[in-house]
Amino acid sequence: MMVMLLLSLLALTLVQDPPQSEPTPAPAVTEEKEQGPLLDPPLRRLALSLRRAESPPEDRTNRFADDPAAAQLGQLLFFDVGLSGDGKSSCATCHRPDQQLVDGKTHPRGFNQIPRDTPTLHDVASHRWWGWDGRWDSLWMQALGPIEEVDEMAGDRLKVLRYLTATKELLQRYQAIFGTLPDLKSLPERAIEAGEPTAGWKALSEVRRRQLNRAFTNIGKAIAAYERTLRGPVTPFDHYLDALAANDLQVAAEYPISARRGLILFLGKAQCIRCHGGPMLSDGEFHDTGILTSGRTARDAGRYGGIQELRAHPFRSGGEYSDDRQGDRASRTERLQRDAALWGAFRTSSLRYLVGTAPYFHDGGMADLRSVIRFYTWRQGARPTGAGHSHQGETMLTRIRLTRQEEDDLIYFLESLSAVDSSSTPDD
Amino acid sequence: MTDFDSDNSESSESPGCIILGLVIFSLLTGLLMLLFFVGCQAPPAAVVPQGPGWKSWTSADGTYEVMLYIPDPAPLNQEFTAHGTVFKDGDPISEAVEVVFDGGMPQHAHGLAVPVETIRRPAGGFAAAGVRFHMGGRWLLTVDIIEGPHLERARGWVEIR
Amino acid sequence: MNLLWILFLWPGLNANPSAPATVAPTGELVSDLETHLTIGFPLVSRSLAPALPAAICALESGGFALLTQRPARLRFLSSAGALKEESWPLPDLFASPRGIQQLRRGHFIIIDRAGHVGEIDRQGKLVRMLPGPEGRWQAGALSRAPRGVGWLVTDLLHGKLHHLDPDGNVQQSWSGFIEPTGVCSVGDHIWVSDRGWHRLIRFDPRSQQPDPQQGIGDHGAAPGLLASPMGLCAVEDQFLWVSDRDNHRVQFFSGRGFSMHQFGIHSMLPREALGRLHYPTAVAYDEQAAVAAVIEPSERRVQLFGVRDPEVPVAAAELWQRVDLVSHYGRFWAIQPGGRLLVVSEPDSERVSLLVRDLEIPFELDDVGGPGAAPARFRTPMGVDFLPGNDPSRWVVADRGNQRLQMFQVAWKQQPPLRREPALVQLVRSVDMALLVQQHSSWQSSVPPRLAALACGEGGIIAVADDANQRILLLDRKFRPVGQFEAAGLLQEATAISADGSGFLVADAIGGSLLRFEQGQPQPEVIDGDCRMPVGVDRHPDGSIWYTNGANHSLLRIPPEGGEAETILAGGGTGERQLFRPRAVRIDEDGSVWVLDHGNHRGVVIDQNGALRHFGSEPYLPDGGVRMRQLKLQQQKLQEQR
Repeated sequence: MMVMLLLSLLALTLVQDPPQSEPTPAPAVTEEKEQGPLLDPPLRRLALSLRRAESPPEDRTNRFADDPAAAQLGQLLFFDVGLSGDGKSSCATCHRPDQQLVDGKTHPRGFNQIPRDTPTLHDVASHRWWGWDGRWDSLWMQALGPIEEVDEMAGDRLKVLRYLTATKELLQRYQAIFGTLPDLKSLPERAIEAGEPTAGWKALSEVRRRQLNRAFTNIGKAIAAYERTLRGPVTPFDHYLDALAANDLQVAAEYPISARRGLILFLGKAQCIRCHGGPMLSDGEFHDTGILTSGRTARDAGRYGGIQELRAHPFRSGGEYSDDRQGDRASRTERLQRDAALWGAFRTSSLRYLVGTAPYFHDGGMADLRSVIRFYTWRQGARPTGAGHSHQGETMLTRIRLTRQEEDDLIYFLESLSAVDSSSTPDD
Repeated sequence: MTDFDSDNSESSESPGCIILGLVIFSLLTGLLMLLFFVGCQAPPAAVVPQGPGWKSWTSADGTYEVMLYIPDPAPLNQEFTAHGTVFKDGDPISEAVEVVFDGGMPQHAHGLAVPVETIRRPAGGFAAAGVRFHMGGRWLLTVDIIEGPHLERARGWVEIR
Repeated sequence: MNLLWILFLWPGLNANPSAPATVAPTGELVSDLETHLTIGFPLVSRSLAPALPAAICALESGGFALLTQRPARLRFLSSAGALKEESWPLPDLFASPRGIQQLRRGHFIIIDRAGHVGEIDRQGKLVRMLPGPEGRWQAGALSRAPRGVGWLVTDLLHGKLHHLDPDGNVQQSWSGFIEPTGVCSVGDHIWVSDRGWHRLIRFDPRSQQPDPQQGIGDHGAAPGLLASPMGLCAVEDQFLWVSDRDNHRVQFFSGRGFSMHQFGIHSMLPREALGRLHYPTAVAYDEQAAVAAVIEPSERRVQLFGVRDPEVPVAAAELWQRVDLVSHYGRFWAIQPGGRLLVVSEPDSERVSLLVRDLEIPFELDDVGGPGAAPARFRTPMGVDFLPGNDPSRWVVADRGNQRLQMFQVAWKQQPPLRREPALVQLVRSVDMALLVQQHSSWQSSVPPRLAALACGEGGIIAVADDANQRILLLDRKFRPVGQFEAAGLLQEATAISADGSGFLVADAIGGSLLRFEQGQPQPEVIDGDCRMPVGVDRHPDGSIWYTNGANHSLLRIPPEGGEAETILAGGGTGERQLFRPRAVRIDEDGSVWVLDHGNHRGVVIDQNGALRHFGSEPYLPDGGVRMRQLKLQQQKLQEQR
């Protein structure tokens, strides 16, 4: 399924704070030898804050989230082209299991044909918001979006339910988990046409529409249950962090020295950790980093539009189809406010599993990791400071001059966040 | 590690403030005992919170004293409840006074990613649940005190590492 | 353009999800849409100087009818750009027209700022007066009601929209707007543009109440965002043009609120045309000719735009050069008396910036604001002035759309090299003036206050103009009421105020006078009762009074002993000794005169020796480095001096 969520881009955030408030200067790469394989505090503490979580966070909005039967049904649906409008595409069409759960493409969207990159689904359940613009606040809500999206699977909730009814195995599994499907007689062909409710759908009674929506959201919850099992593989960096935690010098020393130098840069001089912190190496929120297609003069509304979409959507965590309408997640969404300053802001991408998931950024505008690093360190390809960002002229990122060796080290480090053997070379 | 500094007052963690706090505490205690012995029916004096995480700010025009609690160290990427008490002329503000807590990173031109609502609590108290510092660095926290048409602001910085 | 894409609009990529997915709810394609989406080729520019264009509408027979102000006249313009030489004076009550709509019998209905509604013929003669809303109100915009039944008028004083029947009687009213500057009907829906909210508010009058919170857009420059939206014009009863005033562009929206197209580049030089716009306030559209007419009062002109060659790519500047990229130095600024600071109120970008002024090019230390109602944000910041006393430096801003005053301070210590320090400026306090007026018995009025010019005088007395009630309110530094100035018949609008010893000087652009108010005096002293359009004023240490005249782009000086004013700078142009739409004047203790040359996007300083210098803002694009290079050179110079 062309799940339109998650990240993938790589983004090293070089954050500028006033000099008087700067923390103690971070150790330079030249001090690496003194750090040793296990690093010294406080870098070790910072590094350990990046340890992978044992399991994705609980999702109370989906009471089937950890139901194995639901996950099995979800797996079948994930690969089933019957959910699409033309019967030719499934979630797996864009999130290809043989390709790090991406298709390596960007996809034009909407009237303006704005490009959006396909993100990987590794660890997809660990996000805080879903979609580059955060228009979904649960994984099950996200799973339903692309099914009916014109530019993606172009399906329809009524067609999906009919397909389910007509497919014996799916129907049996569904009913075993969620109970009986609603009666599908005397329904219009589609509920949604070109993004708008059809006249036939609007003519149905409120009760009827709710029953059908409930069944459709159950499908999302099953797919989400499956997607929660899509844990990314353990990486060399994870092994290194385990060694750090255990004070295991021998195992820690197996982590390549260049990657360790890159990690020290990541935590220190380059200040990537400011935004790329935590187990997902992402703050989970939204920023305008100065990409030409972001910011207040860009055509893609990003988080500004995402918030409005989410607040108005019946499938949000505070809506009637959620299993935790009063919970923290619902409260978070209800507190969101539209804010033009978030126009063109996009979610901070996780830095896990970058190898094989190019291109990078929400618009797929960067083809390789070196381009990404130079975007952040030298501001290559970035908007001029302040231009289209805000009135205030404050700038999220400033140029920091990394040497070629430092760039190489950062790339080594980033590649160590993937389990896939990288074919990239430091010389581009 | 969390560093605080207010734009309008010394941090309550400074030795001077601690001594001052102890002196005030002693005086208040003495006063309370005196009132007790003379059988006075006056309400008990305000209890000024102290300890790790508690900060004391004065509002910009000096009208209010704001005691604000932020966990120490302030957590990164985790939601918590900021709470505190506001005093005016040494007494907790009345129930009719509105208090609004907020935060942001001016250097990065953003506020809290998810806005919080501040509720009033008895005895000059207030609380804002769901505060989350999603980025490391310098955060500017503000507490607005609103009485009728008038608003006055207290603010201070916190360094999230 | 492939019209099929209309059916594939993806709402999340644009401003308003409640709007967009399709422009044609019934699914049919609209034949002329493709044409509308190519409008933007500059056809012709017609000067109306010295008159200001005030309102425009398309004629059923093709072409446009125009109303001007100063003088108030009716004129006609063909879609080919021919401006008929004949013009007809409007009835006396319509000196400041704000809207015009054609009636079927060839007559027009017009409205005036002062709240008059009337029907005129093609020679401008009054046929009849219509009653309109009761009581005092200020007309903002006029449109046909849905299905052509009656009229819609907006009231800027009360933030209201009224539906009038064909005879001008109020049928229904809606409130909750801040500054409803435009209105039109599209299908069954009413659309209101609100300059305070920077939104388009759409509602079905049969079943809904207008809800500005759910309006379309917010302050900004991206497609679908707006900066002071004003005139609206319906197209085919399915789409609408919007004068996106402070973005210096016109946007085209679908009936569901999806921004589909825009044209216009910001004029950086006076009267720069050929596709460039400067504060367009209204747009009319001749559907048959596919020509859009845009009026720009600041340029005294009307421009026509037609279909452009779709093969010719749109200039990058048209997409990028927007309100948030250019400083206009607003209408008001203040200098710290004897100090180093300059604060500039910039309503276009909803901010107030703080600069160090004793440099050749003032350096921006910080700014405060952003659009909205939260403390320290603004909805059209207006007058600004420093309070007496320098430690810390404090200043007060009139926040018009939020009906409040806000006080800021900065404890700035010089620490070379100069650098920007976000959050250097702190909010001290604010006061909700609407609430304060209600609470203070001698201030109460039926019309909520609308704040504009402001000055801080001796003892920290703050004088702020309340335009809606033709008075000046006085407060102390804790924002407590201490009095007011009123002068029936003398004071129409306090366009600019400055402290003058124990009193205040006031420039009244509407009344064309300079006044001096003193607490305890029942009437103001009339310094000059016939100075056309004074828009800025201040007292020089030598006792002379300096003021700017918006009518002829000049700076004048009245000698200490009185008498005829001497012209210091004059001429509406870009020359060194010229001004274009000058605004505030502030004079330092050392006698240096600071003039805000708004139309040239620059400041002009005349030092105590009479030497002149300029400083100004640069657009970030196409050469984003110009401003930074200037600042770096300046910083180097400063360091060398030290």
